Amino acid sequence: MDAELVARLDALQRRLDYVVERQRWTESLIEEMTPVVREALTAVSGPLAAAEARGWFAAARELGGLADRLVEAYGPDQMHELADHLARIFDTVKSFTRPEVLELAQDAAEVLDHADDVEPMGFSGAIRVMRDAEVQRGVAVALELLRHLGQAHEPGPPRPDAAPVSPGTPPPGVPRPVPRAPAPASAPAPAADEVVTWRGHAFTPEGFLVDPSTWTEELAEQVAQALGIALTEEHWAVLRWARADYLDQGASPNVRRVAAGSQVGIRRMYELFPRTPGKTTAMIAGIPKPVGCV
Amino acid sequence: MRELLILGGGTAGTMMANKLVRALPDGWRITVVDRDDRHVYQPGLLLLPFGTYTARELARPRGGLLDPDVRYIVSGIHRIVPDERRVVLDDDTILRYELLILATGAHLHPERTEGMLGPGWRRDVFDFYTLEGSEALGARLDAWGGGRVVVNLVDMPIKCPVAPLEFAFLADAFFEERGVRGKTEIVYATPLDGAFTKPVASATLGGMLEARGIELATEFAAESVDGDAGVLRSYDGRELPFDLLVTVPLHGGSPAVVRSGLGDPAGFVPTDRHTLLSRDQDRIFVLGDATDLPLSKAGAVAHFQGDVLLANVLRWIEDRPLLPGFDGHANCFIETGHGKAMLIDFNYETEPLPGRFPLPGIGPFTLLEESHTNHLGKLAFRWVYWNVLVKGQELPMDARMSMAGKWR
Repeated sequence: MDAELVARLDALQRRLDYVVERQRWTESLIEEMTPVVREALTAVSGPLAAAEARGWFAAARELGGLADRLVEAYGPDQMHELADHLARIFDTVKSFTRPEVLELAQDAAEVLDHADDVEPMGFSGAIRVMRDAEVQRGVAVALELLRHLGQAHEPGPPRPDAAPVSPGTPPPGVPRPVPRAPAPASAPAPAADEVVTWRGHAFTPEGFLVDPSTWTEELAEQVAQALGIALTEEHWAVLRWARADYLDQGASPNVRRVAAGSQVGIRRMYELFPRTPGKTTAMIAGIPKPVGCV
Repeated sequence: MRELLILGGGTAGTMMANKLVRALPDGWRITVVDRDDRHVYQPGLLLLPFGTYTARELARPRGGLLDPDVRYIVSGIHRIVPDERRVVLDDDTILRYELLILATGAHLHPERTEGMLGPGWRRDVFDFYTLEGSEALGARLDAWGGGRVVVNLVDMPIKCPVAPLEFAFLADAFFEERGVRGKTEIVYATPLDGAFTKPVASATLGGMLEARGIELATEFAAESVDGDAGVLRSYDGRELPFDLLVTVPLHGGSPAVVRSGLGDPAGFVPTDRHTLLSRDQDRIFVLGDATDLPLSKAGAVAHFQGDVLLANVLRWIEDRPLLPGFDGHANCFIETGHGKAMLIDFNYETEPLPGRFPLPGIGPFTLLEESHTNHLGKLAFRWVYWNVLVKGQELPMDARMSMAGKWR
């Protein structure tokens, strides 16, 4: 009986502890978050007030009203059609804003600006002008355009697809929106790392062997020589340790690690491989540039 | 009782104990050992000197953060004897284990740089990686009237690799707000060949140093400190004079790990990068800063490792093959001063990239770009740390890194 009571009390105690803990949790959350939320609200208020002053919210309300009217006036199918039309309008705007079209429009405007200076031209004058190749091309384009205008207004049988989404076979030579492949989602990948070939081996521009498995002791001698270092047995002990460590770890050791691991000491490392001993060791040992772990 | 022993009651060990106590089958007991009963919220140490926090707000008793069903022992660790599956504590108590998790962290070694602890230590030479150092530095900054500040990290790896950069940014903003920036030079001296290790982030952060008029000294391998003369010297003979040296001392593994012969030359434990099992011992898992993995030594890493380790401990107990699940995922806020911060998110394969986090295109956090929201995120994180992260509660985020929202 007593044991049972104790067990129940114990269970109750645990339950209470849990509730108290949760309460403490919540209290400290409120305590901790209040200043943060206050700061966040202050920070957000500024830009929002500025947006309001510029009329963003009023405009948004108007847009909301427009959306309301659209929803009331059109059924779902009509909305769909409207969206198609809109897409087509945007496509047309896009094709009109192509540089060559804009340039043409600008040229036309300039010509019209100077229309006062143009002399009236008789038939023979027109014939004379027609010898100009550019004028000939222009007339051909204009005639083609006129033909399409005529086709569009032909009172013949209704076209099979009334929906304006797929405009049938494109007449040749007339500018029309060309469906384009969507722009690639991601920007072009960063340029592949440049590679420098030296003595038949690929190196990074900084001078590190690209593929550590192609390393040979002769190559090490050549790299060391190019760096002005004559390799001694002491150098070799360091190089072997660094290489083994790289192969074991999958990451090149930095100077302090090499100094400790090969037991030469940092000061001596600067004497053996002057200036940048960590990098120089890696270059000669044919392993990647040591980067401190992030 | 089958014994699961966790050495270290920091971020990694505490979180793991709390996760495991809910997941282990009956018949297992979890014991955590740490040398003291003070758990420090280490991300706060960066902000403490600038008056954002007080020391009291950043420490809690370790025992209070552990589930009541976890046994907690306050003691130094003398030696780990894997062959006999036991750990000897400083008072010669012997703890036997069936499975051991090393969460012994990274330890600071100012004594390994000549002269660092000499005259000037905690007068003109400060670390901010300890509560005491950070607090003392705060007092020094409070009385600052101008002069030359050198911020230096002695060598990688260090805990929170961006912290010294953040310190430089925050100091710049702090001096400006105090009206003494014009009388203050700031130099950032690093053993790396740029502001940071990963190219994209390094370029961004390097540009930010320049924009703030902070001088950058690269490939500076600090050899010694002369506190009386106020000079920091490098192995290649360069000298940086200072009125105030803010240093991040050399890091190494736990002395107990070193004494037990389980560490690499720096004292970190060779660890399988995907399963987190020790590479030499099949009854020892390693978590957080104690590993030798090419990763940031940071709570975020320990947190992401935690999910993988939990699965693997359970598999180990059931004698099933371990899952190679850990992808090196890490992320961190980078305080940049004036109430702004950046956020970076990356793993073994992917360097920090710009973008939005966690929701692509929306955020609210901005990757590799300063924003006020990020700073608020960092402030809000303290509650998350105490109440969710070290308690081993689930965070609503996958442990694996996602490319969604990142821009190449």
